Amino acid sequence: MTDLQIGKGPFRNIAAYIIGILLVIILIAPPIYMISISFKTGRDVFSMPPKFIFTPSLENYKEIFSSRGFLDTVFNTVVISLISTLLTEVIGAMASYSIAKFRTGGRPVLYSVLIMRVLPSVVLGLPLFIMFSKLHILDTIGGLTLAYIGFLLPNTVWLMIPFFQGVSKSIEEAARIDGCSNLRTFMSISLPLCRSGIIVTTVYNITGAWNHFYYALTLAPTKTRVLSVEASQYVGEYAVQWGTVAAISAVLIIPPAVLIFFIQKQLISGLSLGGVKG
Amino acid sequence: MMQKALEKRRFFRFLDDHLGLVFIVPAMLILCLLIVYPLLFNINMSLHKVNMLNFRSSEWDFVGLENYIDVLTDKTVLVSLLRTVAFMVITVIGQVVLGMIGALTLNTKIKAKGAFTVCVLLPMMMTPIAVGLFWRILFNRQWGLINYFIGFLGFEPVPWLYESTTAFISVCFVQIWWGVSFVILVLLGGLSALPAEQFEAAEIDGASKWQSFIHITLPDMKPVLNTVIMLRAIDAFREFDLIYTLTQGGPGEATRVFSLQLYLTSFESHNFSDGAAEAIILTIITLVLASGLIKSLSEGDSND
Repeated sequence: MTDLQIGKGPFRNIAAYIIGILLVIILIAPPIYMISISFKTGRDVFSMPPKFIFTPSLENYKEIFSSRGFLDTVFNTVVISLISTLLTEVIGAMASYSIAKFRTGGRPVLYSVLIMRVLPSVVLGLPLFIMFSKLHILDTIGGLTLAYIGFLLPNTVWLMIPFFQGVSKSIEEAARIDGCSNLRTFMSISLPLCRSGIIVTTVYNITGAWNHFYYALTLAPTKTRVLSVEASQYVGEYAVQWGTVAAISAVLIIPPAVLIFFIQKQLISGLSLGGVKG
Repeated sequence: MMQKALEKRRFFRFLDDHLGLVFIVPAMLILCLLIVYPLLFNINMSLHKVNMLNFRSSEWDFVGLENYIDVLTDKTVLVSLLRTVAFMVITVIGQVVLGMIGALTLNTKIKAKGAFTVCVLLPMMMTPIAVGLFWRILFNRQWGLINYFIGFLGFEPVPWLYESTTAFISVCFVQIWWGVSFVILVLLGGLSALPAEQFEAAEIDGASKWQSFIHITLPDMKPVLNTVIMLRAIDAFREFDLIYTLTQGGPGEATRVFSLQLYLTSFESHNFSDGAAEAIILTIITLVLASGLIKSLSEGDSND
C-alpha cells in the first residue's frame, strides 16, 4: 500500500486529509463560483469579495433562452448527439464484437483503431470541409452527425473490445452447440452480458458529441449551430455580461455531468481497465 | 418458390458463417470515408496549390514539397510548434506530479473517499469550452476572483490573459487543472492494484515510506505512468477548444499553439494547401507519440 500515512498515531492520515481537501477546493471552487454567478444579476455579479448570500434569479437563463435561435441550437445539439450516439453504438458494438471474438484483422486492426482514436480533429477538419462542400452537406444536421460518428466510433470500439473479451467462451460455445447461429449468440448472449459496456460508451458518446467543438465550428458554423459553438461566441459578443456567459457554461456542463454522475462507478473502473489496458 | 427460399436461407447461412467479416464492414466503411480518405486527401492537397478559388475543382497545380518548405520556413509556424512542445512538457509534468500526489491521497484510508473521488472527477466531465469561459472570468484583470485573492495577500493585480508570459502560464495552468482529474483516476487504479505484501516486507526491513515509493511503487507503476504520460502528451498536442475560448491564441501570438495555427491557416487565411501540409506534420507527430503509447500499452500487457 502506497499512501500518505505518517507514523501510526491518531493523526496518521492528517496529511492525506489536508491535501485532499485542498485538492477538492481547487477543483470544485471554480465551477461552483461560475454557477453561482449564473444566478446573480446586476452588481452582485462583480461584487468583491464574492457575495455568497444573494437573491438567486433566473434572469440570465431567461435571457439566453429567449435569444434568437437559441432553442434551435439546443434542438440541433440534442438531435445530433442522440443520432450520432445511436448509430455509433450499433456500428461500434458490431465491430468490437468482430475484433474481440473473431480476432478480425489481428493486432494491426487494433493498433489502427487506437491511432484513429488519438488522431486530432484539427487534422481532419479541413479535408472534411472540402469533401462536405462538394457533397453539399456543409452546415446540415446530417453532415455534422456523420462527422461526429467519425470521431466517436474509434473510441467506442476501443472501449467495448475488453467487455466482449470478458464474456466467457464456454457460454457462447454452449449456445452454439444448442444450435444458435452466430448472430443469435451475439444478440441474445454476448450483447446482454456486455450491458455495462454499452451503458458506459453511450454516456461517453452523448457527452463527447454534446461537448465537441472543432467539427461544429468548421463544418456547421451558421445554420446548424450547436451549443458549444454558441457558447464560444459569447466571449467576443458579451465580454462583460458575465451572468449570461456563466449561464451558458452551466447549460453546457450540467446535462453531461448528470449523466456521468449516474455511471461514475463504471466510469472509474472503465478508466483503470479499458482506458489504459485496452 | 421453394428454390428461392432455400437460396435465401443459404445466403443468410453464408453471412452468419462469416459474421466476423460482416460485422466489421460498416465500421470500416465509415472510418475509411471519414478518416482514411480525408488523410489521403490532405496528402494530395499538401502537394498541390489549393485555395478558396479552386478547391471545388480538381485542377490543382502540382508543386511538390513547396508547401512543406513554405510552412517549415515560416517563423510563426515554427515558433507555434516549439510553443506547443513547451506547452506539452509543462502540462504533462504538472499533471503527472499533481496527479500522483492526488492519487496517493485518495489511496490512503480516509473517510468519505467516495465524495472525494466524485469531486476529483468533476473537472474532467466539463467541456473545455465551458472551462475556458469560466477561467476567463476568474482571470479577469479588474473583477476576477484570482486577482481579488492576490490583492488580499497584498500583491498588485496581474493582467493574466493580457500579457504574453502570464497568458502562456495561465493557459498551461488551466490545462493542468482540467487534465489532472483524469491522471488521478488512472493512477489511483494502478496504485490500488499493487500487491500489499511487498510494502509490508519493505516496512519490516525498515524502509521509509519515501524509499518504498521510489524503489517499489514507481518501478511497478511504470507501465501505467508511461501510458498516462503518452495519452496526456497526445492530448496536449491537439488541445484546441480550451485555448480557443481562453485567449484565441493571443495576446498577439503568445498562446498560438500548433493546432490553432493550423485552424487559422486553413479557415482564416484560407490557405488550404499550407493548412494541409501543417495537418500532415501534426499527423506525423501524433503517429510518433501514438507509437510510444502502443509500446507502453504492450509492455503493460506483458507484465501481467
